[in-house]
Parts: sequence; C-alpha cells; structure tokens
Amino acid sequence: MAWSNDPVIHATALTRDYESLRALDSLDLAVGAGEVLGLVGANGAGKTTCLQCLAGIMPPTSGQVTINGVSLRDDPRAAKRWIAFIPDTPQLFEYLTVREHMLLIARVYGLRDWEPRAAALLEEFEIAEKADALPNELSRGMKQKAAICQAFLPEPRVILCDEPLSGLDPLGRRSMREALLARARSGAALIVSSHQLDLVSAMSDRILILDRGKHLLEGTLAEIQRALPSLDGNASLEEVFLAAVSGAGALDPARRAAPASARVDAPPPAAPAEPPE
Amino acid sequence: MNVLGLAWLVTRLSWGNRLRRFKRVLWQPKTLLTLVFVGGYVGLLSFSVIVARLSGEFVGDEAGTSYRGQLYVPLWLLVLLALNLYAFGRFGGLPFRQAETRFLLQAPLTRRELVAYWVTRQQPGLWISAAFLSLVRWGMVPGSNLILFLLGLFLALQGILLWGLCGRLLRSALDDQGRSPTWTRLPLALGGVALCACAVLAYPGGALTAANFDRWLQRPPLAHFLEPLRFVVDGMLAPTVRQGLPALGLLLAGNLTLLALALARPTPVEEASLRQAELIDLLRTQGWKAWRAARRGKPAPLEGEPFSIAGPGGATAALVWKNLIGCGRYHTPKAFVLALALALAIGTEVRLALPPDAPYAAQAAAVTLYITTLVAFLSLSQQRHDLRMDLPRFDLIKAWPLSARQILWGEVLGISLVASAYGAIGWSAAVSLVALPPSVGLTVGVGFGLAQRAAVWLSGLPLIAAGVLTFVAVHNAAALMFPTWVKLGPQQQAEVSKLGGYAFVLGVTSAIAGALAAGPLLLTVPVYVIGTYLAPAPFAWAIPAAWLTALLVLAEVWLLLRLLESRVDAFTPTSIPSA
Repeated sequence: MAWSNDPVIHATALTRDYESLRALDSLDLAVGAGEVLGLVGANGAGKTTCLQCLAGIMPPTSGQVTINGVSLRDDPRAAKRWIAFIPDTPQLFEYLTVREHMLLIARVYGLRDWEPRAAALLEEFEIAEKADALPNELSRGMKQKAAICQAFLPEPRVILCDEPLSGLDPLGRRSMREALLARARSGAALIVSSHQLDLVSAMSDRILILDRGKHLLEGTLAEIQRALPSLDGNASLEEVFLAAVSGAGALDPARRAAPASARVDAPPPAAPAEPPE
Repeated sequence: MNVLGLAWLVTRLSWGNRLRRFKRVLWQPKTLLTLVFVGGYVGLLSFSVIVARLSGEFVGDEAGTSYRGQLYVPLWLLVLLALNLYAFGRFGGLPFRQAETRFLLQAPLTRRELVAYWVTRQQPGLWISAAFLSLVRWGMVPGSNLILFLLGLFLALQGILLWGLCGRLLRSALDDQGRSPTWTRLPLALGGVALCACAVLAYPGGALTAANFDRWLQRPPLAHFLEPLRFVVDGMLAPTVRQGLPALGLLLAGNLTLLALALARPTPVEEASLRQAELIDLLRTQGWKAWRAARRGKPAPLEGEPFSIAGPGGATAALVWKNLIGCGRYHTPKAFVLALALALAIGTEVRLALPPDAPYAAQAAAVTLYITTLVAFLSLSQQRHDLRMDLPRFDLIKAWPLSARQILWGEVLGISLVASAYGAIGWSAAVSLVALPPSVGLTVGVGFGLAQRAAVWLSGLPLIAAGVLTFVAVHNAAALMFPTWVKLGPQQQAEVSKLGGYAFVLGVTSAIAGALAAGPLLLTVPVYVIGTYLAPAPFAWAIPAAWLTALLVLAEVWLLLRLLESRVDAFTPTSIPSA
C-alpha cells in the first residue's frame, strides 16, 4: 500500500508513568497517510496506554504527539478533530439511539451536511434499520458497528483501533477489516492494536512490537524476520512475536528494523536504536 | 355507599380490560407529568387542609393524650400492607443479583438453604432500616421506649419481608405447576378497598372527628382487619417493657410461622431467580424503563429530544442535550411520582412536628419547602446524568475535540436544569399555599399581599437554581477528585459495604455546597437588612439580595469548575474503579 512521506501522526519520546510503573518508555512512532501500523505486544506491554496517549485521552508524562502537524498538547481540540479512537469495548450511551449518537457526534465535531454521510455509514455497516434502536437492543457486534460509524462520521485522518474486531463473528470481522482498510486507502493513518496476530499481519504495512512499554522491533514482517537471526524467512508473525518477546536481549542491534519516525520523516538514523532491556 | 362504589370501581378496573386502556392513556409521559404536577398541587393543598383541620381535633383531647402516633402509625402500616398485598405473589424466585446466581445456583446448596441464605442476608439491612426509621420517628411518638420501638419496627419489617418471601415462593410453585396467577389480583382489590375506605372516611367535612375515627378503628370489621397491626403498634408505642414484650412476642411468633412456611417445602426457585437476577441487573444498570420493558417483553417507547441540535452550534449544548435525554429516558415518571410520595410522607412528619398553634401559612410553607428540597435532592441523587454517569466511559468523551471547560459545563448544566425545574415547581407551590385566601377558613399567618408574595417568589427562583448548580458542581468535583468514593455509572443500588463511604461523601459534599452558598449569603443579608432599614418595603429588598447572592454563588461555581479543568485534562480512565 502506498502512503505519503508526511506523517499524519507523529510521536516522539512518548513516556507515560503510572506512579512507579513506566507503561511507555520513550516511544517514537510515526504513521503516514494511508499507512497501517500494527501494534502488538504481550498483556501489559503498553499498547492501550500508547493508543490513549496518541488519542489525547491520557496525557503523557513526557514526549510530544502531533496530528497533522498540530501539537496535541498545545492545541488538543484542533488535533483531536482529526482523530477517531475505537476502544475494544464499544462505548455507547445506553439512553441514546444510534441515530442520536450520530447527531451528538456531528454537533460535538461541528460537522455540516453530515446526514447523508451518516446514512451512508449506517448502510455500509448494515445497521440502518437499527438507527432508532437503543444500545441494549443491539447485539455486541452491532454495538461495535455503531461505535465505528460514530468514529468514522467526522472523516478522521487518524484512526486508532484497540482490538477492533473483538466480539465480531467471522463475517463481521471480514467486513470490519475491509472497512478499516478502505479508510486507510482513502488516506487515513491507521493504527491497529490487537492480540489477533493473523489479523495484524494481514492488515498492516508495518508492525511495531512493544515490550514493557519499550519499542522492541519495528518494520515490515520481512524486516522484523531479518532482525531475528534464529527464525527462517517464512516465520509467521506469531512466531516472530514469540521469538522477539522471549529473546529480546538476543536481538541483533545491527539488523533491527529502522524506527518508523526515521523511515517516514528523514533518512535512517546513523546509529542503531538503544537495545531494549 | 361511597365505599361500595369505590370497591366496585377498583375491582372492575383490576379485572377488566379497562385498566389496560386506562393505564395506556395514563402512562403516556405527557399525561402523567401533567397529572403529577396538577394532581400533586391539588393533593398537597387538600392534604394540608385535612391536616390543618384534623390537628385541631387530634391534639389534646379530653383524655389529654396525643393521637398523632396512634393515627399515623396504623395508616402508614396500612399503606405498607396494601403495597405488600399488591406485591404478594407478583414475582417469583429469590431476588438475587446475577453475580450471586452464578455461584449460588451452582453451589451444593439445597433449596431450603438458598431460602435461608436469602433471609439471613436481609437481616443487616433490616436492622439498619429499623434503626434509621426509629431515630427519625421515635421523637415524634411521645412516651414510647426507643428500644421497644426499634425492636417492634425490626420485627414488623421482617414480617413484611417474610410475607413477601412466602408470596414469591408461592408464585414460584404455581409457575412450576403451570397454574394461572390471576388470584393475586384479589389482595390488590382488597387493599385498594381498604385504602379507599380510609380516604373516604378521612375526607374533611365528612362524619369524621377524632372520637369517631377512634371508634371506627375499634369497631368491626375494620378492627378485625387492623388487629394484627395493633400488635405492631402496641409493641412499638409501649412505654414500658412489661407492656411491650407480649406484643413483640406475638410479632416474633408470627414471623417464625412465616419462616416455617417458607422453609416447609423445597420450592423450585432457580429458573425464576435467574429471570429475577436479569431484571435486577437491568434495573441497576439501565433504570426502571428498561426493567419494565424487559418484564413486559417489548421495547419501551422513547421520549422525544428536549430540543433540536440539528444545526451547527456549541458542543456544550450537545452535552446538555445528551444528558437531558438521559434524564428523560433513564427514569420513568413513576420514579418521580414515588419521590413525590416519599416527600409527602416525610412532609407529613415535618408538619406533625411543628407546634399545632403555629400559623397555618408557616406550616404549609415549611412542609412545601421541605418537599421541594427533597424532590430536588432526590432528582439530583437519582438522576446523576453528569460526570458521575459518564466517568466510566470518559475515554470516549476525552477523545472528542472538546475543551475541559466545555465538558464540565456540558455535564453540569443538564441535570441542574432538571433539578432546578423541579425545585421551581415546588417553590411556586409553596408561595401559592401561603397565598390561601381567608375564605378557606384558615389563618393566614403573616398576611402576605400579592406584591410581597411575588417578591418572595422572584427571590426564591435564582436561589434554587444557584443552590442546585452548586450541589451538582461539588458532586462532580468529588467524582473527579475521588472517583473511588463516589457512586459512578448507572448503578441504582449501592453495596452495603460501600454505603458508609457514599454517605460520608454525600455529607461532606453537602457541607461544602452549603459553605459555598453561605459565603455569599453573609455578604448579601446585610444588603437586605440595610436596604429594608433605609427604604422600608416588605420583601422588596429580597429580590436584589437574592439575585446578588445567586450571582456570587454562580461566580464561585465558575471558579470551582475553572479549577477543575486541569483535573479533567489530567484525569485518566485508570483512575476509575472497575465496575
């Protein structure tokens, strides 16, 4: 998939501490328009924290995030205007219908002429006939679709998904994956965090493996495979992930994939990244 | 004749299709709200007239004893009894929560042990309720013994609980046998007849006097009907242990009989309990409306939007719109009716606590002010459609392009508008009651003229709005600052273990809100006093003083919310306790 050289979302030295625990440790990250970045890591690796910092939900302890060149810290309202955050559990107000959710989002984002777009989204996700239903009348999958319709209504430039396909049936998963990729094809930067490694592998242009809040490996699957000398070239992402996490200390620093910020923004860094602990 | 006519009407309404048609029309939200507001006002007026007339006859009769306790305790117990009759056999199964059913129904327990567990689990709550009610009620029943009152009330509440349990078990057994439960309408009709009889006989201007009423209570058939209640009343009101113990012993024996009945046979309660647990969970998380819809097996009709936000505009208005919809859809008007009924009940107690020779206007105003406050307070504590409801999904709201100021004002204003509207209705009723003309036959204590009443009314409105806004703002501040101490999310019932914490927070936040309101009052009361001294005009200076107070309070709230903005920015969803 082709993408532009300008990163739509760019994080530098992103760090987040929970009291004594460092959940994110100097993470650099950049995703360009039309690019899909897969975020993988074990439980507690910092994926959700990372997404929440990128979405402006959680302020980072230090570091900087820019969206479309706008600093999330200096002008959060302008930056958030371009972000859609899709959490793992669909967040809906139980007293608003699906249509009212769309109306609320349109007003919050200050959208004009949003009705045709909302109708098209509801049709695309096959919940148009449930537009006047309350969330408790919807199945788990339908709730997820309604949440995604809301997220897509403002036509975001950055889409942050935390386990977007959890709770969906195989058909729903396929259609949701296609919908997400369609947004990426139309120019949105997409970051997908998931434990479903086959999904991440199939969707992502690049993969970022986090380990205890640190940037462990990043690149295409082939690049990451090369960074792990113990694996052959046909290793799946699952094998790559397990090998990377279990033998993080044994990685060959010289063969690490280049960080995304360097690849997208500028020439590759002169020195290899600091080896993980 | 009236009694028979009403009895016929109640019976026909209960068993015929008319009730369904009647309910269909009655429970339209707009109809019901109109009825509540109009009927509540008329009812309040009538109630005040009844109380005012009765009080002259009931306090200090020739025997020198007070009839207050003897009149109202049986009446309230009668209401409880009627409600219980209505509820008896209406639901089956044991009312467990879903989390409990997951382990209780799989645990190696017999059905009898399940019933025994449920009864045991209720005991702390019964003691707490009895203690609270005893402390509130005891001082108003002269001559009674607090310990006897507490024991009597506990046994009475336990009797009601066991009676309800027997009804649930009977219903479960009938359901298990596939038998129709229509017989449960009979107690409903009987309870209704009894209540109607009381209402008709208590009508002012009828044949009722204190002495007649007392004789009427003593005479069959009502005496037979009330006889079990006399044990309760006698036990609770007895001044000495010697007099109270026999009645309490009878109560205890009655309760033991009910318990024995409940444990007599292993009733199949599992299926109905699972269904009940689903409904209870629905009630806790999504409110009365969803509960009712699920029970009936069809979706509830939705109320419309409070106002249109179709065009572009401020995001704060969108949040207010969202919260107003939540207020309208989360609770049925029935909840408001219940709150009003509770307020009326406690208002009665306040009225009875006042000296009987107090001016009527002052009595009516005191009662109505109390009702106003209570209704506004209940609506505030029950609705909670602000940050308290939204914090568990705060990651969604924080992802939106909103400033902390927009979020805070959008969350605080919606529920403030609702509660202020309720408060304004109560306040208007209070001021109107003070305006009763002398033709009603009551003493208008202060002798307010129209201009003075208008001045008082105009002064009260901004104070109510400012008071409500302060209360809401302080509660939202508490939710942001101490999320583990505040009840968050759509929960209707608190765990017993957390009740103390919630009560503590409620007390502290109320004190802070009171302090916030008291500061401006200290500044503006001198304005009123000096103004009245310089240019004497009754209550005229109340208007600028009240509006100035409201503006100062508003400034304080603005400052408080301004200080909270940094907290909103720094707030993370991980600060919220898991549900």
